[in-house]
Amino acid sequence: MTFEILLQPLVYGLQTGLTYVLLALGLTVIFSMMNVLNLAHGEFYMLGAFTVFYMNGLLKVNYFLALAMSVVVVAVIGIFFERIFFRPARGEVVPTVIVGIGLMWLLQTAAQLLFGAQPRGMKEVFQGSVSFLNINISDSRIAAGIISILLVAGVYLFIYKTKQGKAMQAVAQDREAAMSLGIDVGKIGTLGFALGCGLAGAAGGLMAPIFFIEPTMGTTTLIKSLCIIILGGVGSIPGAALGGIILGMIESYGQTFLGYSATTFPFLIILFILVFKRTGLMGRAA
Amino acid sequence: MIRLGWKEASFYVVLLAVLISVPVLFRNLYQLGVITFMLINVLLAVSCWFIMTTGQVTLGHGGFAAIGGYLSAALIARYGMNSWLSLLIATVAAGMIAFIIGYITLRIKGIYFIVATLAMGEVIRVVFGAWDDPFGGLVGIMNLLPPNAITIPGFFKIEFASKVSLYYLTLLFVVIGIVVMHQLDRSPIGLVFSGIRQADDLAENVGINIMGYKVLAFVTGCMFAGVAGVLYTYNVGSIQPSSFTVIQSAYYLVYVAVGGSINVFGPILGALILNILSEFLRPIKELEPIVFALILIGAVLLIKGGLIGLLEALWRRTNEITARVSGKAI
Repeated sequence: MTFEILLQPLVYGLQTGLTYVLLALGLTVIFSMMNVLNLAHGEFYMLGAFTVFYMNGLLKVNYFLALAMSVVVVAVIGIFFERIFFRPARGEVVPTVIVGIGLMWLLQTAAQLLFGAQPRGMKEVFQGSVSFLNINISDSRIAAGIISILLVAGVYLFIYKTKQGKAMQAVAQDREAAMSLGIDVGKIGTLGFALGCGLAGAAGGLMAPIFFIEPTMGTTTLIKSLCIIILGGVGSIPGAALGGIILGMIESYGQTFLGYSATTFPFLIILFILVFKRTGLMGRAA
Repeated sequence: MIRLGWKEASFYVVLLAVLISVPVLFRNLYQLGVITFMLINVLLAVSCWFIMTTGQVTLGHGGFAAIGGYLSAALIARYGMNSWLSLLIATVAAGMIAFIIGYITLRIKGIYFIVATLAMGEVIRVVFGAWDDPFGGLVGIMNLLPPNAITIPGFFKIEFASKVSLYYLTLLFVVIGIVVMHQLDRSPIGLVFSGIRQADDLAENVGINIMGYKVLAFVTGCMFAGVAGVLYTYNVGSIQPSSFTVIQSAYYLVYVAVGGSINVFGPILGALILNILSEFLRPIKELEPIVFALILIGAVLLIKGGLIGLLEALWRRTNEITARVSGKAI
């Protein structure tokens, strides 16, 4: 066995893993703050990918500007649905799950009608590729990896260093106490939801030049995000980062060496963690 | 013991008469097929609701329907087994698998249980899709024969080749399932279930074996899901990994949520109304999920307690008004 057969999946796994971190961060921020497990999270990812596809691929807007727009567009759509659908569900388990399922169908079908059901590819934004040690990696993937790292660092600084971020932490820890300290829980919740959805949109925008884009791409994405936050520990930001990288690696090596049956891995990880270690790798005991 | 007032009894008699006369009212075989499917969905919704009475919400219910359907289909198609024996074996096997899975996963609560069952349902589906012999891999099992005829020598012989006979067969098993789960729900066991749903730590503190009851509800619900899966293969004549996806499981949960979960009539009502609605939306197939999604979100957010809760409130209000009016008249 040659060396690069082990190294190539490592690089791919690291890059997809980094983008998964963005997705999982979004899901876990929304869940820990609002007690909403947003089952339509994958659809926000899909919308981010389509925003970049139309902006950059068709309207020739600069890629970075298109990416920023995907964050804003998806965040605004997220705020809208949080207000009309998720907030009235008040964090109760069954209504929230049903609302999530409904929103999933709604956005998927709307995307099919608006954008068409066929999978589409975008031209690579960055043409070149880098090779070293006999392994190849396209510039698109390198760019996606670097932007992911920057975004994760940005979110980390925002949540731990700014006033709003600290307010978000307070809401996640104890909603009533935060309210009694004068934090506008509704406003901070909206901010958290926008941040979570915006991260999903950014992940979609980063993946758009690398993978095919289609209206149903959100479903597998949701499963992956769920797997990561459960693996890392729900509500834990370092956990989401660790879980994202681990899942990226497992998938990358699994696809290289095992093929089709590797698609069950996220499900098996979810079951295994939930049964044997509910708090995940880095979660707090609830 | 089943005790019925004359009002209730006459209601059931009329309902049964309507159900029995369905093949006479709907001569169109396509419509009859649709109604048969509705019945299977009713059984799946009711069994999903039955598990929910202990407070555990499942998104993997389709997985157990797949287990029932696949086992029965494989036993008949590959090993030439009698359909009725295969039905029995498939049901028991679904129950046994539910026992093992339930025993492991029912400790998990709330949203985490939902995610765990979602994962479990998908694993079951992928396992069947990857297992070529005897489950046919991604193609599944096709061209199943109708169930064996029942013969009592010298008396009668019932064949199940026609849609009408399959309708009655499905109706029989669905009614059995509903009656069993309804009676369990109204029995002292059902009271314990709802005690666990409302306050599981309190129930545990007064000495109730909550895991035992949760497993009991889960196994019962999953066995009837297995029966529904077998009925599905009898009616369709084939089964694929795509027959019971997580989307199907989501539908069963939606039926319960829209119909309401205070008693067995909630999931029945939810399944019937949403299935009829989806039949009416058939001409605008592309838009169907949007209309459907808006209706179910609206139902969940605006009507607490679902349709059955709404009906009950209306019923109580009319009773109050009639009582007041008749009170004044006297």
